[in-house]
Amino acid sequence: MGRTEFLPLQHYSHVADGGYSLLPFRFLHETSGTYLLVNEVGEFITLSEQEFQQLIEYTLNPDSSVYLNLKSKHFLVDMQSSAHFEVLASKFRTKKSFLEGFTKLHIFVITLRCNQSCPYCQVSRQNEDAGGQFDIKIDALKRSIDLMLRTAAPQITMEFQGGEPLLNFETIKEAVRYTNERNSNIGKSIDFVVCTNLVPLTDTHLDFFKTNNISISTSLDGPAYLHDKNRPLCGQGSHSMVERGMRRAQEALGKHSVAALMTTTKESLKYPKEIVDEYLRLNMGSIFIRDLNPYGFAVKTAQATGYSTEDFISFYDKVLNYILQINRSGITFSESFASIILQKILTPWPVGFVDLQSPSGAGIGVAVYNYDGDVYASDESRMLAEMGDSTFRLGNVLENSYEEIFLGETMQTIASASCNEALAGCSDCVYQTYCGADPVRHYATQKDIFGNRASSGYCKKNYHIIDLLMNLIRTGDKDIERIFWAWIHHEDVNRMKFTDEALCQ
Amino acid sequence: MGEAPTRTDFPALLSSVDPFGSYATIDIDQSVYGDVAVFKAAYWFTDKYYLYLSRPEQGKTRVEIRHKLADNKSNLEEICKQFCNSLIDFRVRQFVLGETAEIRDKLVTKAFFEGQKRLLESDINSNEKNIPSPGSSYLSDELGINAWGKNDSGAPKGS
Repeated sequence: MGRTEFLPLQHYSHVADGGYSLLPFRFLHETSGTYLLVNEVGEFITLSEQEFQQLIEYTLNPDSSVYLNLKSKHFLVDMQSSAHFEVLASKFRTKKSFLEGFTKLHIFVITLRCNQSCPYCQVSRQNEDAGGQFDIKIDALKRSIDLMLRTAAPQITMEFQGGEPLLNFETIKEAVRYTNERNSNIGKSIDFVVCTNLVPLTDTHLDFFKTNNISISTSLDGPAYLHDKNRPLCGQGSHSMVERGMRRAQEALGKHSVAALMTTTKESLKYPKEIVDEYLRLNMGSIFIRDLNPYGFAVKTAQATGYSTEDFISFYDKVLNYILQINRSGITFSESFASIILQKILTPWPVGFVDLQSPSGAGIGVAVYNYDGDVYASDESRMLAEMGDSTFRLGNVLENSYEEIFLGETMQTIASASCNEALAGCSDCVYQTYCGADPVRHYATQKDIFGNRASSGYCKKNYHIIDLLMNLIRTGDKDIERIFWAWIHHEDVNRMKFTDEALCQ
Repeated sequence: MGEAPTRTDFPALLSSVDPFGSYATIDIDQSVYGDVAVFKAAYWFTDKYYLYLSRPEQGKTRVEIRHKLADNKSNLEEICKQFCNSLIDFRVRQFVLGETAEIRDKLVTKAFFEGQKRLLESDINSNEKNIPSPGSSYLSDELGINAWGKNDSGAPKGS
């Protein structure tokens, strides 16, 4: 049988007639003297000073490997690469494809009543026995669901929040029933999620969740001494109930149907390893290291629970380092925020995490339907309203049409500050493609929806973490490569093999 | 009033003290850097420093830098030198932006061109005259639009 082999390299290398043109990119001049370049679709390359100078002076040797690398990664184009432009346009469209279908995450605040009173709570709450006035009314619920189902997205997530939504379980049941009934004529794929502290969880709830394929999202701040300090229950701890609830839910619904988030407080900063160990002990496959949001009770208790961005960054470094050690030892355990950024760096795919989208997901990717019928562009927008500032209230389901709510003036104002490509500071940032814009947060912290990036905690945090991950990728460490790809693909880190390794087997 | 400005080993850089505290100034040749690069570089220093930009003479931009916080011990001259290096980076960025702006516009247009394709309203409007009656079937083809049942001349296939 004949052999198939490539023609010699010389067949493919040639001097491009007419030289080359630059394609759009941003760069960072690193302290080591090298240049990190990132283009519009997130592809990146490191150049020496000399190579960078040659690139922008149009004196790169077209037969050099750096030229070919730059061309293949869409940093330059010559007469022989017209198809590259088509590919680049396709990649750009893919990166922005999260816009297709408009709002995909629909959050329903079905009650403000809660059985806990966490000092950092960014959610407004009322006492458990506060009465039905703080529960969503049926007409508002149904109208909110009708609006949700009008979104063009074929796949959406319906998330129940509170307060503590299980305190209004009957409404959850009615909401699911009504949604499924209305959707039977529409045919959307709907993921249901209940955000609960798990304290009131019973087998009745779990039966319903299992029957209706509903996932759970809960809060777990770490080991008991930390969790109970952050999230007291009637003056006592709640950790044991959360643990019991998590185990029962994992047993009933499956491990992957139970997700947990932690919120970092000043106390948390002392326990980076202990928090991760607690998640491992409870058989969780990942952790989301979240900083405190500057809303709600967190503002009032900032003295006790707050910390600087620098403190959080230092804490994050320690946690990530420890998680990487765990993965190197063969245990697959990911950090969710890092996983999202890695997907943006290493794959052509967009992410559904609204805080890292450009245009920002507020209103576009997510909508919050409050218990009183008001609609907000995000959780944080609703919290601002609870603090007396309704700047980001989009409308009311009983008073306004879909167009008035989602295409009205408020939404347009948010959109005007949502594209980091057009924001001062972000427009030149090397990590622009991997980052987002958060007009609501900047409004809350700086009283300016556009925000000043130089003094922005959001910018500092994101820049640091993206930079950290990028530098880890660029070390060329094969273990890191394996771990990161396992996180992206939700695979077992021990089963991630790359072509050269697989071929050697 | 303040002290007389002190020359440093950096020609364009002067440092001094006035009743408001210590400050440093850099005179920038507009023809070398351009205003946009100057503003972009200055932007990133506004977290820790107050900056004031002025035009002392034709073709020059002066940047005055002061500490925001009284206890900031960083050396203003060193900060100014960092500012100057940052200026170079932003000037190069403006160059790259200038070289790639047009192709970037084409890229975005190309990427989202598909979104412009849509049916005209007149194409999808119904004249309400051809609403099927109960029991009617597409096979009767009352509008004569059934394509797969006809040959190239328009006659029913098999005829």
